Amino acid sequence: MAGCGHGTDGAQRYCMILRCVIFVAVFLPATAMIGYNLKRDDESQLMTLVYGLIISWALAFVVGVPLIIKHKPLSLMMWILLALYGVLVATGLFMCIRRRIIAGPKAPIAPFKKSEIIYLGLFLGIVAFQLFKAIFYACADGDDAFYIATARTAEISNRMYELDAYIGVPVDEMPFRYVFAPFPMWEAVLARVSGVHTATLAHTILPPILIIVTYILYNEISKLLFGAENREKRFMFLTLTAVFEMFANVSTSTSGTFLLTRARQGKEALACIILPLLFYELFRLARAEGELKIKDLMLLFAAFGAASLSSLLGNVLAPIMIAGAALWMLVKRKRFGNIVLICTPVIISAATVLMYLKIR
Amino acid sequence: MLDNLRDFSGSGFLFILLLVSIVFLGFRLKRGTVKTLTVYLPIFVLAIFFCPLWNIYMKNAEDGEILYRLLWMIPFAVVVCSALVEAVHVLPERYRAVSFAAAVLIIIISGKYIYSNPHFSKAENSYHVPQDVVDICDDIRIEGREIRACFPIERIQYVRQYSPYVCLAYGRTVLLGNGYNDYSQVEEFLDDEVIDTEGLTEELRRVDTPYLILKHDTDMTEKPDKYGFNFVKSYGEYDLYLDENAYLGTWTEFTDN
Repeated sequence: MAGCGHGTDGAQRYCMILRCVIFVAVFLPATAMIGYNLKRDDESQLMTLVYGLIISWALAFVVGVPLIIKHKPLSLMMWILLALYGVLVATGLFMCIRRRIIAGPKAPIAPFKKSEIIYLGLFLGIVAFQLFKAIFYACADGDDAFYIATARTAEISNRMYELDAYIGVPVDEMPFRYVFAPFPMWEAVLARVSGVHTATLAHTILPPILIIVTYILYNEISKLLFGAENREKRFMFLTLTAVFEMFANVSTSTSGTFLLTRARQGKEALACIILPLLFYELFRLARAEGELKIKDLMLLFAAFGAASLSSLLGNVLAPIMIAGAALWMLVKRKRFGNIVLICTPVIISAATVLMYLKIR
Repeated sequence: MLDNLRDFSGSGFLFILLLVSIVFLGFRLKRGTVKTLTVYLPIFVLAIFFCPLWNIYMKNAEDGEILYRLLWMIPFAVVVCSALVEAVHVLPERYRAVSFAAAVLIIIISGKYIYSNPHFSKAENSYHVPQDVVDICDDIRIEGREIRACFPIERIQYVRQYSPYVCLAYGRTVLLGNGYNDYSQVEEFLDDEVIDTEGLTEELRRVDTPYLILKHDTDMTEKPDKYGFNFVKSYGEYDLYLDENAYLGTWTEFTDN
């Protein structure tokens, strides 16, 4: 197995499993600490994981695209990202410790009713089944031949989008449609840093993480829908969403199908994490009567960066959602300054699309 | 757009369930943020999706068939499941377990089980790549350089996910049919019911491809060894052949000599 020396098969397997465990043990807390920078006080700790990913993706986009266009090596992208992630982990850790010190004792959690335990148990059981399937079952998808091969090629060759992912020859011209949505390069960076094979990372490690992140978002949305204290409704809702996603295979195009079959591609991140996050943000915004705080705006910027990283179409869908929110704020006669502010992240999408049209 | 909608919604039952949920929530919920997000936002997105201007775009753009992705802006699961939860809670508490089971049943009947997808199979390794591909790639790899191989069409999508050291004689673009000029014409030979061995081996040599992988039961005009591609080893249902004239040293050794 690549990257694990020349030992026996058993030793190589042990080495690979160890690398995977170390990767998860470092990646999850680091991502959560990055996300802590944007976590609001009324949100669950689990949301730090969602925000951590969103920030990581946004930074990967901002750093990655110029480097790719300039034909710089992947290692440079890796070092810049590591430095940025390191700073954000440090600030997140500082904020986390400070909040722990300032915060008083936690309010006791009300005992669970029998029905709540049943729904929660059902939900966790279904999600555990989905994670088992994601890890131990392969779902062949032709697009992986491009996305994962592109990431693997970059990881090994240290060159980004300069070799044809399918046949391996140098390309005459970069595939700009994909260069402007370099989600595979984020995966290549993770693989290069961790020493975990890109295919293992993309097929075995990332899918369960991304699936869990989607359900964390659904959990937070359920609080807005039914109120945090209405646990029976919330857990019933979560159980139904888990069933819904598992039966969303009416076509290859639904977000549910993407969630459980392609949780390694940028399109899945867009459909199952970034757009639901924007939905959640708009929900919060509507609840706050259109009042924007600095963290809300920062989060919108990060979500737009992440949308751009995930897919070129992210530069269309994210602005449409914000346009909907702006329209609602206009109808509701909210402060004009806030309407302008909420639209500012669209600059990222507009700049990306304009650059793409100019350069392709 | 109707074609896009058909491609997206399949049988259409989940889409109908979404529409029913929007209508139900529209009547059930009072004015407020929940209604705005679960009723008006989906209507807003549907209005955008059905905007006739997209027809102009579809006629002129190459990627018109992916407009269904506009519908990703509607959180289907959130809208449908919140409607079902509300519907379950309309009934008295003593019917809750039964109505919850009915809600689950509605989803199951309207949808299609994702793991019945024929593309799912037990993973053979952590790469989720067929083990025969892994073994072949490991065996043909040469330290310090790449090597080109010709895999059967059902295996090409996996090869470079596992090993970028193995280059391919033709790639997945042949399946996409979007006018890419591929590296070779190898796939045209492989596409024939009975493969023209002489033509295939000539083409493989032309594009510096020393390794040929074929299924045991592939119909060929002659055995590959007649044209210098000798059998090396079997990997499950695949046979590996190597061109007897191939240079398998490193480039450094090649240039030194």
